[in-house]
Amino acid sequence: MIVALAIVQLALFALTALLGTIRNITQQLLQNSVAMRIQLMVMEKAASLDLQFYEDPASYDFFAALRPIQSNRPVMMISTAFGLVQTLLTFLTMIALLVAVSRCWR
Amino acid sequence: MITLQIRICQGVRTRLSWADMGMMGGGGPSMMHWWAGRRKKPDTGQANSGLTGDPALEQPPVPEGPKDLRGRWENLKQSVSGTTAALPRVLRLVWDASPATTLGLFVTTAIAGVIPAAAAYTAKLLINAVVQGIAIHNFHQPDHETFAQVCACSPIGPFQSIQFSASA
Repeated sequence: MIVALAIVQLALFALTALLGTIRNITQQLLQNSVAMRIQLMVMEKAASLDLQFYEDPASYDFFAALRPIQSNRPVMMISTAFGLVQTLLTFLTMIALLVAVSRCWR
Repeated sequence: MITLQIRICQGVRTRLSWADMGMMGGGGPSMMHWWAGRRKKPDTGQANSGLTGDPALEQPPVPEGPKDLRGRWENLKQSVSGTTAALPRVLRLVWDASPATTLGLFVTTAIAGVIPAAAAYTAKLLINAVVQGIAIHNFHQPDHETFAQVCACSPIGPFQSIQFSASA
């Protein structure tokens, strides 16, 4: 019984580490996909504009400033939002567990 | 006249004329001089960008935030409301980029949120089992497992029970 529970505990810790790795890989993949999509959107918009537009310094500066833009911000925002969901889930499950354990001790 | 524009610090351009350096006109070093260009304001003077302009762009000045507490609180409220309003659009952008990867990120995050409670419950069961084992060992309490249960659980249990019956 004790050995089985210890193995389950070990499996849970291993699963935590594995999920962290999978999450990092998924986040990197998503960053690449979003960066490519943003670049594609910028290129499509740039191709649809007239050449006269680029002689305007303000618009040219605007497009030039779009080139080195940090394209990982959307994924960071989504990752932070998912982290909030994770914290909320942890909070709710821990509250439920504490309530269940306190009922067992009565 | 070939003119080199050397950026020596942020926002200040120094123009170095090759003719002034004497490389084209044959003048001596006394004719070489530097003259520093004025700091250009973005909305005044001749445009220095565009297709025919300098490809290197000056970074826009970073606006300084408010110093007082009320201004900082207003800034924080504005940033929080702006982030909240922009979140659905950002989510749509990320979802359109890769739905499967977005779903995978959410699922891994959700599973990682449930694991601490599962680990705590397993730890509770483990501690209870260890305490029960210590109590059985110290106070010589009876073990709940009977001989029949041990024989049923063990793969060689039936043979052991037959051997036990034969020896008895």
